[in-house]
Amino acid sequence: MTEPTWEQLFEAVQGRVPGSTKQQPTKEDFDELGRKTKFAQRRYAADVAMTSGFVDTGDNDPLDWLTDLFTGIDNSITANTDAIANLETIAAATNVTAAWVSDLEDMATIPRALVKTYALTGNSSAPKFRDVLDYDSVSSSGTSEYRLHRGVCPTIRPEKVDLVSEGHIYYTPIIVDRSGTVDKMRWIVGADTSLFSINYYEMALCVYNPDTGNVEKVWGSGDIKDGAADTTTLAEVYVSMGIGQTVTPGQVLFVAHQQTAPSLLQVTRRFAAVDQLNKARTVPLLDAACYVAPSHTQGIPSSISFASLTRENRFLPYAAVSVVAA
Amino acid sequence: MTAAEIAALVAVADTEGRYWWRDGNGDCYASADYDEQSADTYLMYASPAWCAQWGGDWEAAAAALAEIAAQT
Repeated sequence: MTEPTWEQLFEAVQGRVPGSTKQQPTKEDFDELGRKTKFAQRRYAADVAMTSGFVDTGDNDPLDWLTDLFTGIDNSITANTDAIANLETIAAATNVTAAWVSDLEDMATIPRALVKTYALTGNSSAPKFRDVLDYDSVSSSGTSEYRLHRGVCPTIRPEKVDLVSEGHIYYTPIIVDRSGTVDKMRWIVGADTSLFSINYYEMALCVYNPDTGNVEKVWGSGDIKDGAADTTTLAEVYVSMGIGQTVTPGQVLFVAHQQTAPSLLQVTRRFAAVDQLNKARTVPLLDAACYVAPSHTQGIPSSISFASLTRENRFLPYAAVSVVAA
Repeated sequence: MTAAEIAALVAVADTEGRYWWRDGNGDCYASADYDEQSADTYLMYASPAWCAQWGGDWEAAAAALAEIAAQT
């Protein structure tokens, strides 16, 4: 048998080019469409089931298996989504203080983020402090080229009295805004360039008693001149008061501080404080930034008349008292 | 205070005390307590940290005290 030539092939297929005649698809009835749709669903269900751990044993249906699986999960979730808490009956786990103000549970005399200042010096290294009462006093020297330093610790140097054991007592108010147990007292030390000799260093927690008009002592550290404040490393330090006493919103606490250094060779250690407007406040109670018992004998007294204290509006010392939620 | 005086008092700080004084004869001595009524001149309290910061350089310590004395 000889093979056909190209001409013979073209003549044989002429008029039979695919697509040249219309072919109508077979019409499917409703039952056939339902059967195909169900088949597609089961094939998809089988794919999903296989990825979820389904094993085809030949006598089980993947769609039923998936239905059972999701029904089981649904039952488990439902059992654990019951609302069981009532906000009105749950106690606070902690008190709240913004991080830029102080530590989580602290009440501060002034936000910690504001305890910084600028200094212009003739030295490339930043000074450790700037005195908020004597702006020319910075821990730096040199005049070759003036530089502006940021993040310098603003301080005061607590006043002392030469030749006698007396020193100013600084009372800085904190208005209580929460309930709980007072725990730690915090302040900033170490701004001095060297460790100076002092005789006495005391921190105290006091409270204003509206019945007597006095500022009464709640807790005193005693002499801690060799304790937390005995450093030239600039840091926020704390002492635990350990008194377990609760405070109530509306009380007015005072963080009190005193140093004595009677010798002419002794210098008090700096205390972080920010400068103020030096304007008295026309309010009935807290009419100043802080309060001072000038040249007081050594030791923060158990009680002192609030009215007798000197009003100080040039600066505000930084201190904080932590309150543990009741 | 001279560097020699400081060195001598630091050497006995643990046994005689850390409060430093100068008597009427100009001699320095240490005591364990501060005496507000003493007729001698009170110099300073030498805490362990104050002594340690000089690292044995008592010349530097004497210079620092002299600077403080000059400012007061």
